[in-house]
Amino acid sequence: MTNFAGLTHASASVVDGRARVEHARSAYLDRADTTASELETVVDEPSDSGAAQLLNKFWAGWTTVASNPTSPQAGIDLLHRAAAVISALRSASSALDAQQEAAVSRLAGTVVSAGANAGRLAEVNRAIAVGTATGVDTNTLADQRDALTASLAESLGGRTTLQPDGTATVLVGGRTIVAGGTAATLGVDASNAITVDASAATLGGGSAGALVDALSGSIPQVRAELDAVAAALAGTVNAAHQAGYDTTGTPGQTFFAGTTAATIQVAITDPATVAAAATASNGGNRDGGQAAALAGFGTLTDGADARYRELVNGLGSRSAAAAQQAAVQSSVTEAVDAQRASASGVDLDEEVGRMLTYQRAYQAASRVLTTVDENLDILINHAGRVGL
Amino acid sequence: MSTLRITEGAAATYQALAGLRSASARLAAVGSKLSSGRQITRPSDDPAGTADALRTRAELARGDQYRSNSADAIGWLSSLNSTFSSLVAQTQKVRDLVLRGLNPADTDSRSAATLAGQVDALRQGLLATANTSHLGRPLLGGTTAGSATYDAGGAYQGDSGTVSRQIGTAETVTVNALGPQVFGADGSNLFDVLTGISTALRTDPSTLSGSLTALDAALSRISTAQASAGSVYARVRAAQTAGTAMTTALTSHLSDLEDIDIANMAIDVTTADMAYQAARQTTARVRQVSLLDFLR
Repeated sequence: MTNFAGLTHASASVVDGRARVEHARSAYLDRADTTASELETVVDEPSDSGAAQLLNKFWAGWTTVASNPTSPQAGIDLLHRAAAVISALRSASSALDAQQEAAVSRLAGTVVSAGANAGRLAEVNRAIAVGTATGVDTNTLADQRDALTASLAESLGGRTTLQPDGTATVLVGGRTIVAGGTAATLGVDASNAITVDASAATLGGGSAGALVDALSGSIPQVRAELDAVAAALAGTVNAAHQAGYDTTGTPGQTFFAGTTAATIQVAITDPATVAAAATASNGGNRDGGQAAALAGFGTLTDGADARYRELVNGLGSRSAAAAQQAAVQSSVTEAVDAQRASASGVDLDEEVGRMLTYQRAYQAASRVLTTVDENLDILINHAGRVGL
Repeated sequence: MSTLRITEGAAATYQALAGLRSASARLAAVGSKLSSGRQITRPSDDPAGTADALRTRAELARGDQYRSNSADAIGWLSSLNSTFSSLVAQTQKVRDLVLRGLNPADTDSRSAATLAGQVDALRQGLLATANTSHLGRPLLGGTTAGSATYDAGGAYQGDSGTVSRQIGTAETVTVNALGPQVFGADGSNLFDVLTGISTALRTDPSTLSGSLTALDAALSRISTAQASAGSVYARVRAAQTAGTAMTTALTSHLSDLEDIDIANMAIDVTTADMAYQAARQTTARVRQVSLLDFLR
């Protein structure tokens, strides 16, 4: 007969710790991958409608103006093509704004739920400490503790250590988030850094870490690259346009106003003020030399087209690298999960085997009982009646 | 523990699920490529290919610019050619009239006056031809904003601007000719020569022989201008042919970069679909069997 002695919380703490670390890394890389592939949608490339193609059409518009310098239709068409480029840049800029806002609110949500989990972990810790001191079974509480530390690791990264009394201590970036029955207050400050007890902290892991890194790294970088496209466009076109002369012989004005993707706009509205001529003349002429020069600006090595290609290339390769890292990490995480499940999971074959053993033992025990009963029966009921 | 225990949780949750997930992800990836017909739907699909595709598109757009410039240049040069032909024909007629004026048998005062009247009419015709406009601008007037190349007195009204068209990466051609190049400098241009002939016919036909030399010089100037326009025309045609070949090559390169190989991709989809189905069936089959099925 087996003897029921007690249940033990069957999880190997080494594998558990490793799983927490890998899950935190996985959460970080998954979030970074999602952010990078969302950032990629800021540009619609390669396609026939993306900003690159609109820039090509803008330069082709200058060709038409060069051939017909005094034609108002060619001028209007050019201004429309310029407006199309501007609207592509502006919509990329506002898409970027939207992604930044989404990242900010996602970060706030992650930190709030991490804060709530930290609070709950502190409560569980208190209960475990009491239970351990009084010798009460704390297995259910230990399960809750493990779930909470896993979820904290996924959102913040960090390190969890189990104390001898069964409570969990969570350290993130050198700051104590939960120790015993107390939890720190988590928040996000104005510069999108995570705060622990109202002072800014550097937390590098988990999904919150990925969001903090995106908000301070990849999103501002993409914005700077996008602004560089707008600045190159305005700079090169304005310089050439101001060196030309319009149909009345007046020197050209500023073609684009603004130097960032969000503020750039076409500064001229009258097609007659498009400066197509390269040579000055009283009362204007039909020279298209400046427009012809502008038509070739698509090939400038530091022009808008080259900058835009850099932007697209950067977005694509960063996203591809993030996806690659996330894929590698996810197979590592799966392997660790499998290892943990193998250590603490239930193998039905094993359990059925054990159950059969217990069944047989029970049968054997009852058979012993029957035998004893039979012996007693003989002893009690049949003793002294030998030979009767 | 020396070997991995294969527990129900590990087998079901992690191994079977991971297999199913990766098979279905692969199916979704090739399926989306097949249905969109595009190899690169976003830059991260192939960052280097994307950069290449952007550059190829820019090249194609430049090819379009050169093509439209070439077509425009052909228009200018054709106008020049027909204008020059008409100028040559009219100047030849003047030359015939001068020859007749030089023949003493023909030159009584009345017929000389008739010849002079015909020369005046031809001068008007030549002036009108010289003022030919192309797309609303004087063909031989350079880049002038005005509408006439020569006024009624035969004075040049245009400027010295050249009209040039870029027809290739490093090929720019001049597609106009300037009045003074074609007719000679003001003061001794074709129209001044004609005025002189008309006056000489009316007053003293014997002075006409000098005008004949001037007319021959004018004819040779026009022919030279026509020949030069013709050679530019040939260059533009050659550039057009080269441009068309280039565009075809670039379009096919872009298609190689961006478009899928349908047959190949269809096979990939079928393979991925089969792999996914096999993963699902295996999972379902394996999970049905447990040790309990073998105990009675």
